[in-house]
Amino acid sequence: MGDKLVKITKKKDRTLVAVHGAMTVANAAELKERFLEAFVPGREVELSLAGVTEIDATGLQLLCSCHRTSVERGMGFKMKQESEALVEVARTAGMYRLKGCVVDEAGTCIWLEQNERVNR
Amino acid sequence: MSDDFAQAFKDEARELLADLEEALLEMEENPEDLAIVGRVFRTMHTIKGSGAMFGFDDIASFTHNVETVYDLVRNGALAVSRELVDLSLAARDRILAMLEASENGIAADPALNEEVIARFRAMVPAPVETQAADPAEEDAAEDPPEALITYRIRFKPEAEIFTTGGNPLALLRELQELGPCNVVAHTCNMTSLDRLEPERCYLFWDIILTTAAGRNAIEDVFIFVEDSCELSITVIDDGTRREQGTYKKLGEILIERGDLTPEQMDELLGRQKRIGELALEAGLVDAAAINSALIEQQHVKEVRQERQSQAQSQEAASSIRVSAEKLDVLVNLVGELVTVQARLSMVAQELKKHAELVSVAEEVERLTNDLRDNALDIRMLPIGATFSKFKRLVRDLSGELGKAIEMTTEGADTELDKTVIEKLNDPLVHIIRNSIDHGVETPAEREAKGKPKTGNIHLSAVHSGDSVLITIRDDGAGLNVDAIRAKAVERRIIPANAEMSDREIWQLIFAPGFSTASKITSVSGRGVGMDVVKQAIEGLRGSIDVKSEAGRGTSITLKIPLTLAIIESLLVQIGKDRFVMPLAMVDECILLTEKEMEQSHGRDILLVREQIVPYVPLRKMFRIGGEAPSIQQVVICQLEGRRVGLVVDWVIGEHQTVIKSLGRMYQQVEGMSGATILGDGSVALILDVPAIMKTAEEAG
Repeated sequence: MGDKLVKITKKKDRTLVAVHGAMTVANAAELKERFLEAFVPGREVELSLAGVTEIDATGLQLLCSCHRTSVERGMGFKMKQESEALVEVARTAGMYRLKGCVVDEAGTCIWLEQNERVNR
Repeated sequence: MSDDFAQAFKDEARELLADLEEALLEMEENPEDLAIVGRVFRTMHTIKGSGAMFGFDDIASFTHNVETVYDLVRNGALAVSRELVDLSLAARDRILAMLEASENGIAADPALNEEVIARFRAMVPAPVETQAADPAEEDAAEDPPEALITYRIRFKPEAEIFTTGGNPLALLRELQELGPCNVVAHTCNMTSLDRLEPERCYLFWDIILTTAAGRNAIEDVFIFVEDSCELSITVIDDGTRREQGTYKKLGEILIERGDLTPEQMDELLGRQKRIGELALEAGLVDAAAINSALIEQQHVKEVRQERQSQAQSQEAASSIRVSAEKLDVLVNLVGELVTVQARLSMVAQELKKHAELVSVAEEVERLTNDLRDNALDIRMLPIGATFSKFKRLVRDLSGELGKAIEMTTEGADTELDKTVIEKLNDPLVHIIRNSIDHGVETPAEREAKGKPKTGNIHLSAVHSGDSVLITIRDDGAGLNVDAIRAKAVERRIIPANAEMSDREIWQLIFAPGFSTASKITSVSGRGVGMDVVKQAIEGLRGSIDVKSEAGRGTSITLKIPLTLAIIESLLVQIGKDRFVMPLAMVDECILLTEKEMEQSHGRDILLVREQIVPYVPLRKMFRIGGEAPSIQQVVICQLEGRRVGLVVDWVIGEHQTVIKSLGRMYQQVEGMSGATILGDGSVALILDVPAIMKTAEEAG
């Protein structure tokens, strides 16, 4: 598990988080801990997903939860370089939407269709 | 069962049988082609199925036996043989007989049916089920296509689903395979990372699925998680509603799903805003709920639009069956209209001052012409169906006579008026019989002459102006000029010393009572023949021509007008009477002065561009009193390569002639083939040009 499933790089104004591997139920606990580490006050979190080989519903929940966390803490959160596989799974799961959830007052929801297009 | 349905079945069955015959003949030519075998099988199957449905049980059970054999052929267990084709053709004839029997109430001979069935059974190698299965039951077992139904599925897995090995996404994928599907994930239960239990399920889904697979198929998808999820499946659109594209309002959907209470809704509606925004602002519902409801709305709208456009395209592509009588009535009415329109135009011409009237009359004329063309066009049928009937004739007859003949066709899609096609059938049968019997030689004779063993009869149809040329060409021995001449002399059709060109001798085969076959066979040579053909063709206002080359074959060409209802014609006047003649026969019109008449010394001939043209003074022929004008007009008609002039007082001009048959009392009157009503309401007789020419020849 130590072979860098999540790599966290701290920059001056943001924290870069890169995932390499499967975002599945087997890794969910580890991913959650590492993501939580990344949410350091004062820095925007940038999640790079190019290395995601596989994702399931727990993975999608984690991404969603990251966004909630950022909203609750008033921090910036971005997803980058989502892989084809990820987009396909998110679409199957019906994640993409026109309007974010209750907490998403600023319209930063990672599943907004306009954001999807930008990200892809 | 209503008679209409039974009639519809009979009509359909006739078409299927015609198709079957064609397929069987094709199958004989290409015994290896399984696609054709499949076609035969399917046709049998359709006849059986719809026969059973409409209560034609005899047809259904009979066909079932045939179908059983074809199933073996289709699976390669039985090879296509000449015997099989013969038997299948016989079976086809039996089905037709049963169909006809049901119409005239005389039962078809069951012994014949039994015989055919027994022979079919004999072909089956291993014992197969010979008892006619109940075809209706069998068909019921085939999956009837279910209607497309749209479901709303709310799928809320319990929190522990991931730890028990459940994968909600896999289930969603399975659902998507059932049909067009919109999935909305609800994220309202999500929480931030601090409180997140990563292996717990927070998501739940609304799925809007349109499928023909049925509720059971949907339940099957969830079969393994049944106990560990909340599942509700609701039909939201079953395709029976007629609303087009529209669906429930957003508020209705939210209430129906229990996301919003009716009271809350009423409250919100008082605020005059879009319901989704209101509900959201009020914090009553989660955005995902609105989202999901919106998607449902959109999904059903699309499904309905799709369904509607499909229904439309189906309507556009379909055709309807109309009885031939209705079409005949329509064409008659159009005929009346054309007549009245001609009258209107004439009145408008006389009252030229009224510019308004003239323009209305012109408009009516234009519309009437379009209507006429359209109405006549509806009755047009391709001649191909008739052609394929002859394939069978050629096959059966040549087999009977021990000749090998194949028939080829060309221009099967050439269209002719339905009534014309019907009347063409018998003449064509005669001609083809003659070709098979007298024309094409036996294989041995052909080989001796260095020709291919298999003879050929080629049927072709091609448009030529407002006529269709139908040619029947064989590659047989050709017409024997000497034999025809000898026979004609023997029958006293021509004097022994008559000087005739080959072309004229060929025409003798159309003389009444002429038959050269030395042996009377069942096929032809019964004394009726080409003269009957010629009469029939002339009855259709057509003409017949024959060409032959000794040793190479004969070709007979029929020139048939496209329609019998309305013709383009030339209107002429003699004294006070007016006549019309088919424009198709008219070559040219020239003047005839008294001086020219004197020069011919009463022989009634005139010189046109160095060519001698005999003419017939119609005034004299029809015994019309009064004096002819000093300058008369000659309408020169062309028929079978000869030119003959018809002398009239004046040529008035072209005319759309709606043909009315003469009453029974006048049918024997020679020189007239019908009548028409002119614009002013008076009657003009239609000149029977070939008959006039013949009478003139006999008189001269």
